[in-house]
Amino acid sequence: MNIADIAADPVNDVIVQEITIKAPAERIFRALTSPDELLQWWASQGKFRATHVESDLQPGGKWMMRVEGSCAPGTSCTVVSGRYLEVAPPHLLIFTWLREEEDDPETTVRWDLHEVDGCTTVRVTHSGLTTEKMRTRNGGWPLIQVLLQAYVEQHA
Amino acid sequence: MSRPAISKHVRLLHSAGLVVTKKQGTASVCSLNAKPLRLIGDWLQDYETFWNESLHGLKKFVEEDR
Repeated sequence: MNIADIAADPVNDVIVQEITIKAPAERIFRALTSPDELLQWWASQGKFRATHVESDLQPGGKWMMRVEGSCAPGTSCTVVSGRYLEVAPPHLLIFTWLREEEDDPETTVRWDLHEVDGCTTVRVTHSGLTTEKMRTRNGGWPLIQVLLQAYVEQHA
Repeated sequence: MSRPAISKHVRLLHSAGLVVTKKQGTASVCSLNAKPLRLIGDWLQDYETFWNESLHGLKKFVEEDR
């Protein structure tokens, strides 16, 4: 792979994580979209906790979440909001993700749910992270992604 | 890699604040300034941790609810 390929490859500005959950996709989709349920699980003990959620679950509908504690990424309370781009229960949910800090880019979060025999693989894909950040910080220089990739892989 | 190509790369690194250049006679000595990379690394690392912990919270919640 040469430098131009890496720089042009949008895959490099994405965080992808997966987990397998012993539950049907429908159950998980509900946990991902119901404000009541989101408040119950979207937290990490001693680190961050969702304290308020609003959700207009339809394409174009708005959502917002208040997170308190040492929430990520950052150190204090923050408000994250966005719009639903795709709502296809129980397999796909895509929404934009914008933290209220003024220099943060609008990014995209995608949930893919794949159910086999009552177990569901849940994949979350957070994209738009580095390219936007780079545009803000370095005037749109794509080569930095190469360095970034090397750095991130080295520290993985 | 040709000399002009090297100069071009160094200029880019310099403009991104990743390299500091010092003149020593006819030679240019470049050193790495990793601070901007660390900012990006922190930013990604924070989100990595955030999603990892969120997924585990989701799993625990859904599985215990059954």
